[in-house]
Amino acid sequence: MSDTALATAATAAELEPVGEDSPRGAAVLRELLRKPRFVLSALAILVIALMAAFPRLFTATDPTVCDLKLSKGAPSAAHWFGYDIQGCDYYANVIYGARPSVLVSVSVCVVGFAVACVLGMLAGYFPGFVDSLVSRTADVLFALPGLVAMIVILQAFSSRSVWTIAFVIVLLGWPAGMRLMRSTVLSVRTREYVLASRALGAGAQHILRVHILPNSVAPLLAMTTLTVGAAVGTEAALTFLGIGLQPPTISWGLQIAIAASYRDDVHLFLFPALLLTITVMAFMITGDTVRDALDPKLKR
Amino acid sequence: MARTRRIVKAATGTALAVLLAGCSGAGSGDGAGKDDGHSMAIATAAEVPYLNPSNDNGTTGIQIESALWAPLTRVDAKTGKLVNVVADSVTSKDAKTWTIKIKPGWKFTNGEKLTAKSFVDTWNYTAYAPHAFANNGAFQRVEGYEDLNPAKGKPKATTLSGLKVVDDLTFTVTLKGAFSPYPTTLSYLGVAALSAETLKDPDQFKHKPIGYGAYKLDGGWKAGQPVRLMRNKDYAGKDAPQADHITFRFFSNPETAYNEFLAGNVDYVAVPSSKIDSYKTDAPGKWSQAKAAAGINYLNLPVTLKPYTDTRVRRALSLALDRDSLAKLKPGNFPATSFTAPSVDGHRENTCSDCRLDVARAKKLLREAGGFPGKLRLFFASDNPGEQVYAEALGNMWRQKLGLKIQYVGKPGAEIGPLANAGKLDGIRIMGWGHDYPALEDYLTPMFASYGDVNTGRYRDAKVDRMLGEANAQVDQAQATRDYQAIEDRIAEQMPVLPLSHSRDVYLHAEGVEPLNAPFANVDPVRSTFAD
Repeated sequence: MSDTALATAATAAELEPVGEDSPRGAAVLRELLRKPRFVLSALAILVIALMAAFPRLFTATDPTVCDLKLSKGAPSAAHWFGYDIQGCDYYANVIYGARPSVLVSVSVCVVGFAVACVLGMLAGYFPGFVDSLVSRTADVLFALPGLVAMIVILQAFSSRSVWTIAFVIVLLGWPAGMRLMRSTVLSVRTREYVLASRALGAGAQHILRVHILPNSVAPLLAMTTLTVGAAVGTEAALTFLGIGLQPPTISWGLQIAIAASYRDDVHLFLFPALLLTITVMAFMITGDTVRDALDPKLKR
Repeated sequence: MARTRRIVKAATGTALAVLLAGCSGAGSGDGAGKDDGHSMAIATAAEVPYLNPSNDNGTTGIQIESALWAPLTRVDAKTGKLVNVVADSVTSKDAKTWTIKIKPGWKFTNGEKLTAKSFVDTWNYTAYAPHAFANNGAFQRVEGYEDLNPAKGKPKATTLSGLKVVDDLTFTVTLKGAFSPYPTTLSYLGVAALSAETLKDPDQFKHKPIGYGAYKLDGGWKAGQPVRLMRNKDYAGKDAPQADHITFRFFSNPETAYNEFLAGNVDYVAVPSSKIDSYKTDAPGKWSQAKAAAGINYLNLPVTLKPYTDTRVRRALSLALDRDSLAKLKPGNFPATSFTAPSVDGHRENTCSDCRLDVARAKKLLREAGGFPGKLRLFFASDNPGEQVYAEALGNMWRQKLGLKIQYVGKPGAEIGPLANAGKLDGIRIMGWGHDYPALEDYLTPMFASYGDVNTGRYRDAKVDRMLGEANAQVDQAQATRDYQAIEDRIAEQMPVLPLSHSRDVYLHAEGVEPLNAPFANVDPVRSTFAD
């Protein structure tokens, strides 16, 4: 019995693209590219990422050149988005506002993935003390109401940057990913090829790296892509509530917060909100399609 | 030495922090007194933890207490003249020893008679440093104040040697020096009297105020809940307002109060900065503007810290500000060109020669002073969107016109005041000050005397202190005014604060409710008149 299983696993590894637990890279990409939903949202992400990395590609105007006399000027041909309350060109400000959103989402995504992956693997592979420690810590963090806990923690920082916000989001966000990772590891660690490897005398480190990680990472990966969009939204929400980013940082959350108070100048609200919505949606749809591709079992 | 007296009218620099809700009966969510007479619901921005006029210097608290107590004297809002309320007469031959007679027939809501002894006991209690009452500083002119408030160690006395009870309704006050505007200072509610029952243990009566004003508590009150007031049938004054029931409600966010007004739950509200473009269309026919510009908005500089120690730096900062554009960010604001309020007798425009935009001169002064090293720290109330916008506007001007690096420090509004009072603000603070009694002196002393209550920038000029003492002792009012003006001229040379704007506050009021709006005082919704 175990021989057959071992053989199947070996064949599966040789015969791409059909893996036993998850499909492999190239096939995933091919499948994704066939979907217009994915292509469109990925393009949107690309544009937003370019905006964050090289805002000068989109505007030659310095967003910090302001003249209070022009305060709240309406959109015109020369100034597409009009002027904000400070009399700064709003188009330039909205373009430059992409950076904090993208930085927060990318760092939350990368760090959050790494933390959840490592802790999930440890908890899943080493039952007993390690599992209890990690899982109970996660339970404690899970019990905290998310946004309220973030507000409390952020109050402790006298000045807040993109990194403090990313840190707080990761701090309170990793348990979800960790639990998912742990459960997949739990199911993988009893597979025959893992048992075989262990029987052949392989160490924990080897097994985790070679067998467990590649065969259990897909669900977490899919979930992480979904959380990127949520992180963008959380950053904007915290900033909107006045405990996120602070001026003079340029961010959509700040722009929306101010515009919500001065809601009679609709253009001030419309443009950052529109870009924020597009960004969150693009990340969400991408995440959704990626999850479908990575985790065929979830497909209807 | 606890010298804090009466706090800034608009500490956060917004329009009047007090938001008022009036209701002429219909439409109010408040059950109180629907069928008997006029009732108003008054909402305030800051929650009041307790009610005690001797231990309160916040705008909101004083406003509620002004309904529960009555002042000795009052400056008539319509004529600007000082009239007696509880006092029958306040007289002196030398402006140093004052005889105060109070009218007979006043009594506290617990039945106690209001006597000369009530005042003397309350004043002694308040002036005694270990009691740590907020209005301790209101008595710093009285003889013997130092014995109760030593710089170090224990007080030598428990009563002010300058206070003496003559008979049931008469007492005398001996000041440390002559001070001719003394009767005007008695219009401040911080010198009202507490009942003997309260003085035994003031903590017991924090939420059970015993006053002698036109109103008394209607039922009980707990901190955080609305304060409900009903007419005090025993009120001995002749100036009782029209409303029969008043309810003060608390809204921490000025925009919430504004929206409550639009929803019809609130009948009087001050317009917050962020509604500057919309209030006219939101509430057509229901908005008004204060007749009096009774206050000044300004920037407080930490003048003991480098580089603010250099007058040239302070003047450069002032010259780089475009006050016309800044004033447009706040409802009812117009640029300030001097250090006092236009509603005050003796006020002059254009005393501040650096309160204008002159970038070339600003740059020259800054260059002579050796530039501005490091970052300029600018504090703002992070829970007030209007103030954040205002702070950024200031920062943008300095950044673009003088090339300074700005660091914005956002903190909840309630945290900035205590930091400033502790002398821990290492940057510029947006402030406002409105007088307790309408006098040039009530701008100069609190803002610029070395012992001034709102002089949180720790400005200290021996000559200003001395000139203030001399002007205060001046019996001839016209000469005193000239003396105060001379002090303002000296301050203008040094620019310890940067005047920004005066405001004639804009407010909304429901149909049929007319708040008292007169040229000599801020709008007072407690004293509203009703159409029907």
